[in-house]
Amino acid sequence: MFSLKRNETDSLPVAVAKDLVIIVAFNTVIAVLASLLGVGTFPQALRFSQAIGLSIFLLSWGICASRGRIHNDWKTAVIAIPLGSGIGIAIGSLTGGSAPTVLAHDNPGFVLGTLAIALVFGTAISYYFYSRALIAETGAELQRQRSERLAGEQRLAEAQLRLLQAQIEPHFLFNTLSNVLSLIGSDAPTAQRMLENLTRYLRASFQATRRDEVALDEELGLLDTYLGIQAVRMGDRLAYAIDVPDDLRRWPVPPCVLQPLVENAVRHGVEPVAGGGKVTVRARRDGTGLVLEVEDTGPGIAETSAPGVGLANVRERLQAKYGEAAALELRPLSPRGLQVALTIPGAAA
Amino acid sequence: MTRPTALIADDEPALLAFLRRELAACWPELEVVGEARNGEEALAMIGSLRPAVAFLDIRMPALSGLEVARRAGPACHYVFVTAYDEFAVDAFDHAAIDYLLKPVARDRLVRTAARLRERLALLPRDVSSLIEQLGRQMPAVPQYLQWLQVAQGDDIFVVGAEEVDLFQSADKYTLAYARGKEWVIRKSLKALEDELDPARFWRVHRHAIVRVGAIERANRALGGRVVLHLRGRPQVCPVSRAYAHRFKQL
Repeated sequence: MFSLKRNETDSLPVAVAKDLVIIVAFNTVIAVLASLLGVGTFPQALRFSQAIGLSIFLLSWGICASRGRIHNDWKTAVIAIPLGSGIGIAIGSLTGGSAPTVLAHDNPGFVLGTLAIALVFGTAISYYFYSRALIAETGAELQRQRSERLAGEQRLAEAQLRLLQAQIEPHFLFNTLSNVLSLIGSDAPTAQRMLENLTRYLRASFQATRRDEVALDEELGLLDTYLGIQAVRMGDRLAYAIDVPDDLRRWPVPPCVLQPLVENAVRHGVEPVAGGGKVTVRARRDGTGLVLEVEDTGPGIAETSAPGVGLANVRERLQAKYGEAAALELRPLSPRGLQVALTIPGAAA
Repeated sequence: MTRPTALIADDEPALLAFLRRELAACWPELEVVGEARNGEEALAMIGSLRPAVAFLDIRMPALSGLEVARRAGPACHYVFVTAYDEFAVDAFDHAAIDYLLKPVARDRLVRTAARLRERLALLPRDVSSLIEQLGRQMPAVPQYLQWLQVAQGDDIFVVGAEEVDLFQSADKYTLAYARGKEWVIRKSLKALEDELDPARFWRVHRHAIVRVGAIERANRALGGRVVLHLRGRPQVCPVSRAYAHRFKQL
């Protein structure tokens, strides 16, 4: 639908044409007012108002274009309005059949009055175009900020989706099911416990991406089911401890933020070691923040090990949510082992 | 006639017990003479116990099941057991190597046992060349430096190579700029240049290596020298003439 409002997609001629229509309309209204006030006859007033208005308009456009701007400002106006008024009055008198100087001499009152009207209305209309442009620019800026925020939210959603896709490691799933199957005949209670843990683990993993935050306690519960399953599978090769004081358990943390770290600890720190090992999860305060540590007793990260996708994903999610205040650091332990430490900012629950 | 013997190897005790029970059910004459909990144990037991068949879990600590078979050679018949390894499964099918998917299903075990019973009279095939082929076909593990041991003061950390934007040499050690901070690495710039992926890390100066992904833009400064603007770093990084050919497009 055609409207006189300037659209961002308007080409230059279209934009000029639209503004022209507005100007001509304004000029006509001014002419009506002027003739009612008795400044002259309507045709006369119309001649002058259009001449003045269009002169100011064209001069404004010309000056803006030469300065590389798309709309006017006070610097343009301060030149265009007086100059345009003068040129407009000259054109008005010439079209009326008299030379401008003659008109000024014969009818100074008319000229001065017209000049006054020109300056007042010229300023008012220039200001109208200026503020219209300002509103459009602010609107564009808001739009840009909104789309940036949406892009950020999309990145976060994608990171969470990737987290879910990486979540259910096939080896883990099929090995666990194998264990359940093999234990059904010989040790039904353990088989049952494993199946319950697996169900709980899967349910929590699927829910994770839909929530923004969970209490640390809930995340620790997820770790407990996972480590419980792995402990049955690996027998006495896996020992684990979750060492978190009660007063920190209500702290809000992103869901599944420790899960990938614990998985890495088991997969790279305990499984490949013939004698097995231990995984420890700790939490402590650090100033106003929370530090979460996952430690294993394994061989650490070899220099040429593949880059950790799980780690990168956790770091991405932490940064998207907390910005620079969150941290993820890896420290080799002596005599052996690796520690992954997460720092989550903010106040406790 | 003596009973045929078998070795089973799996790092998970429940699965070990399960396979033993299932084998007893569908191949009662088979005598399980050894149960190994990791690859090294399995290799040792193949040598000392000389079983006719070895059921090997592929993913095991110390040595993988495939490695064990490769090293032991045609000492016995092999059946590989895997939870989820679509690559190996394809290759095994292709080369007619026996395998079982976990959880081991009774009917598949019965069929495998039947096949083995037939072949026991024959000498075991040498699958080691096939396994080597398998190894070569598997996606190449990157051998470039991916993780760096770095220090900040007295603390030692591990940082991923991808996180480092710039390496700069200083006296006997090197500085790494990552995550907006400065870290010390004990490797020399030359060693880093040799070990880092040359597609992702470029030497741009006698004293500097830059991660290509961190370059925001390259400009020509006064005098025609190239300088690099790195993301998140206010100081520019000069490129010496010897290495400027990389930025010829300017």
